[in-house]
Amino acid sequence: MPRLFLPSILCERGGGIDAPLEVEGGSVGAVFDAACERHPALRRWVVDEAGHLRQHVKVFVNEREAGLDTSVEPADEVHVVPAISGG
Amino acid sequence: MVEMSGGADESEQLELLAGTRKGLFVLRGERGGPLEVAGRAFKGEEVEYAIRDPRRGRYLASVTHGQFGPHLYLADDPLGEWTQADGPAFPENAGAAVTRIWTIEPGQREGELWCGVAPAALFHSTDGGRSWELNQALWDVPQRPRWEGGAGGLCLHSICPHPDDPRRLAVGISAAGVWITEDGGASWRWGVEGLVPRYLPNEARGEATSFCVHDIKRAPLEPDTIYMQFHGGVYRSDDAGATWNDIGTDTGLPSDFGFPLVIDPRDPARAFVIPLVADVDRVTPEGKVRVYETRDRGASWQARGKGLPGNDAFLTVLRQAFDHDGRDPLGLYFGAESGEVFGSPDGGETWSTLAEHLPPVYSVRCAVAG
Repeated sequence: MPRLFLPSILCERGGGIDAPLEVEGGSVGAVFDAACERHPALRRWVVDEAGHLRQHVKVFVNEREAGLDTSVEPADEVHVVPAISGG
Repeated sequence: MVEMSGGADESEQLELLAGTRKGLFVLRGERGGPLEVAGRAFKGEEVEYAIRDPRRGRYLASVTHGQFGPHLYLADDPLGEWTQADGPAFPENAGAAVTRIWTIEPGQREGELWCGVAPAALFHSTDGGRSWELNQALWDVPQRPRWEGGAGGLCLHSICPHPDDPRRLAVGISAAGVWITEDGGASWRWGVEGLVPRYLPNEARGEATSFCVHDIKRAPLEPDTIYMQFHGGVYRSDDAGATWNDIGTDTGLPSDFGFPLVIDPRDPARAFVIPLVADVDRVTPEGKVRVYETRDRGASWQARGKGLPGNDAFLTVLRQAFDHDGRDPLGLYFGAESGEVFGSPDGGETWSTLAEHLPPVYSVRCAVAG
């Protein structure tokens, strides 16, 4: 089963998530949907209501940059990584 | 928005909510005296706006996380636990996403609130702000494809409920003018007659759709009276926003550019603005921080600066960083991008610095403590 890795801030804002999560899904989007079924508060922190990844959030599958429609295999690791930015 | 209270025999405690680039600062103290930072919520995050809904005493805050977008929160104690609201968020078929939550305004019905966001849209809550629904009619107005944003983006930033009729509302959009409903948001009409968009060439003004409203406020005792700070211009409407009269030209203002305004809730003829030099130089004129007051519906304006920085002071005061406390005499409070919060307990006659060295102040709203 794919494993979803989240930064600590998303674990907190998602309502106290103990990451990584092991969730079913054949794509990044499906993995994320499955995670949000368990932790609904997580969704809006990663994707907006139009269904797009937030501008300053990247997703990687096994260290390769990915999108929500990228295929995911059972042994894959999916990492959600916020941009390092600010001021 | 605060309750109007009777005067000196009432509690003299004051609570200000200062939304800043680095969190929500809760300032508390005796009215007329220095305030202390009672605490800070949302540390490190941009708090665009925060209010206390006086009907239930509930606090609402608009917070934009740098990486994770805008979110709206509610709390009974601003220094306690905040709960995230469900929305505001566009429905899937809108094809849009909220990028910033600009303003939150209590409505007239029990539990009713309105919320203005970017891209310019109005949301409605009937449960005290826990959940929100898009006002579809304003989203669907046929003029929308021609709307353009100002420097702050295309945003709905000002909401004026009508104190006597919950079906009537006026909203201000940068840069798409004033929109008015008289049927609870089922239909909307444009209210820009009389506004002069001087930032456009003369020949383009006749067909202009770009009306850069900076702030509008309605006089609660005379609800057809609405004042406007425009992008170059100060105006007053006597017909609930349908038409506008110039009150910024040759009336004593050093500039008719600025962002926020305040109306005395007890006197529709009395309003306050904080002029900045111009759109190309958004600082207080002549290095002096001054609030300007009218007591005659904008026929004339007088500077009120006693106690404010008067030398080499080039401050910027943003759209939502000016409020009153509803008391008599009227308390006035504003914050600056340079991190100061100023206050006057006597309607602008005298001022003092209530807080300084804060992060850039985006919004200031009064909440009566205790």
